[in-house]
Amino acid sequence: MRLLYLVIATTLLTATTTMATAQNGGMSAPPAAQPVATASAAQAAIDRAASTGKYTFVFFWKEKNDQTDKAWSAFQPAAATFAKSADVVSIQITDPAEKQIVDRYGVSRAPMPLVLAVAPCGAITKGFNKGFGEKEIRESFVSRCTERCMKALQSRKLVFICVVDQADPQAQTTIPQGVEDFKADAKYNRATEIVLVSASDKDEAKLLQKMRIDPRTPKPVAVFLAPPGAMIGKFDGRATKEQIIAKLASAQSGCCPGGKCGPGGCGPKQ
Amino acid sequence: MRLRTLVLREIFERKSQLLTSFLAILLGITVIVSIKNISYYSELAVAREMDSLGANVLVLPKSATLQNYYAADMQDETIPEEYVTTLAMSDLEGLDNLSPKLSMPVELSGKSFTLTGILPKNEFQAKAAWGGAGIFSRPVGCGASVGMMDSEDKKTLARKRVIDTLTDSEVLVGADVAAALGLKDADSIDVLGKKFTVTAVLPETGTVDDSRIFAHLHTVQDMAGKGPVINAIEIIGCCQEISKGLVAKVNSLLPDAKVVTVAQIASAQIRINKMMKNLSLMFLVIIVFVGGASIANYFYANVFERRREIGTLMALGANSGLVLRIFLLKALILGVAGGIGGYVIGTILAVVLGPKLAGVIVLPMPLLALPAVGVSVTLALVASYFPARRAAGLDPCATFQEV
Repeated sequence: MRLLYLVIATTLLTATTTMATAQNGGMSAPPAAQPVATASAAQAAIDRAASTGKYTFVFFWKEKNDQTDKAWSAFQPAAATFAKSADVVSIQITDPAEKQIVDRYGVSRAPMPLVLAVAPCGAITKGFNKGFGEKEIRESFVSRCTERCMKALQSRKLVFICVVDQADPQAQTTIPQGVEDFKADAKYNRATEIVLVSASDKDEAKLLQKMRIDPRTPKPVAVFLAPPGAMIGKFDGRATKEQIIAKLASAQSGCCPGGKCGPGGCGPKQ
Repeated sequence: MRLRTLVLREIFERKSQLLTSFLAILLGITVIVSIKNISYYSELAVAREMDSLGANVLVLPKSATLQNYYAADMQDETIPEEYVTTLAMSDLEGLDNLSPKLSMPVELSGKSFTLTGILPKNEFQAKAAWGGAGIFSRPVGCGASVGMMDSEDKKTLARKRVIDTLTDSEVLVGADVAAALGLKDADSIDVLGKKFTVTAVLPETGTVDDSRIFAHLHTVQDMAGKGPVINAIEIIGCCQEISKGLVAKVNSLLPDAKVVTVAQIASAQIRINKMMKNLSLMFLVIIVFVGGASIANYFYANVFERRREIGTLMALGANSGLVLRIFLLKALILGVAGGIGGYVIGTILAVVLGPKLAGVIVLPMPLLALPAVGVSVTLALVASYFPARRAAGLDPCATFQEV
């Protein structure tokens, strides 16, 4: 334990007294007992990582104790193996300088310590408060389309994942007409995001598999998602705007669309 | 001398014995009426809870009891608010509609209400995505809750149990609170020195929610000075997930909390109601035996001791029918008085003790009056019939010879 404190102290000294000093390609400082009241260095580190297309693993902790030490000592070496793809930032949630970032992610009342994986686009692709090993870190890296979907959903937007043979936004038949019409509707326009996914893109195979879409299915196929990530429905090229709105209305009408609601059912009586 | 005068004189002849018999009937009817009354409203409360909540899961402190839940979840024990995030970021399906609550008593204009802190969905829904991309593999519809397209009707909190947004200065008030304080939408209200705007008056539900004032959880935590804790988390889960063992999974995720389904709670309450029904049946049997024996004994003794008067009456021309009617009328008066008295006292006891014993508001049930008087009168008549018949069958000559 003393050795760990020594390492922490040494790292602190070399890290120019900031809590979150993730340099491009480097690792940040580990948890320290004393909060450092600087402007949000953590945010600067996240921005730097994003600008270079890297993920940021934000290690949130509340107080220095065995749990925090154990988590950090498991997480730091594991994260080091992904240094080319991600930076690490450590934030003590009680640090006044980091209040803004703590409030933005809403972690002030979350179980600590907690790691959030932030994609370059700003989406949180994973959060974990146990394990802290390579497995959890590896699972945090997702495809570009998944990142975009998650970012939109976390911004409380509706998402259409349009699976096409070739993701060409210029092509006339790329997006189902019903989806286009839905997006064009003033009521839904600002709260809707369309993400194109190429069925032949191997990086996106996992996403398609999760949504149970066979890449050989006749295109286009549109998957309709609502926050936080629940699938509302799947539509083919013949789907109309009215059908999509009807599906959305059904999802809005209860916690268990299509299911039986009320006593003995899936939720409160509608 | 008329029959009525004869009966009244007869009633007050042996006051102490009369009082014993009367008390036996009165107490028996009192207990039956109060148990019936409380169990009726308790069953009604369970039915209402089930109707308004549907298939829910509740996360409570380990020591929380059934009574705590029914008493507006105002137990002293709390659980950390971080459990909400733990649940939200878990990969368990069917946990999207969470409703954490912290309640505290408040007094407004001399009346007592419950201030309940709730967490709007927008503050924890995004955390569900922290579980990773696995969220996309959830089945169509399960847990979907789309409310961001239109301006939300906050009155739906009464039935949906969850709300999308709620600011620090907003409150939603239950129907009883609004009626008692004369509040309507957009009014201002001062609670423990903090000013709030009434965003919506909730429709009447007939549950404890009617006397609640709902505010933002973090505001209530600050007002209560309890820190980031809650009394309970309601989970509006999908029934298919609950049947797949959601409760056990949540239990293993939160080993320091008690996780139960509303159906389980209701079944416990139903068991209590059944027990109360059995208890009332037992009292009915006791009253039949004890009350009946007491009345029969009183009447036999009465007939035996007053056989000279009975003989005199018969010698003066009274027939057996008149004697029988005197005793039966006396029993009828005793039964009616015992039944009415038992109903009144039983109802008062139920109204006063009901909220304390069963945690439900109990109102008088006029429907119980007729059965109460019916049981009491039948018992008194049956128990007194044989002594009365014996009195009617007395030979005046023989009674004079005996005396």
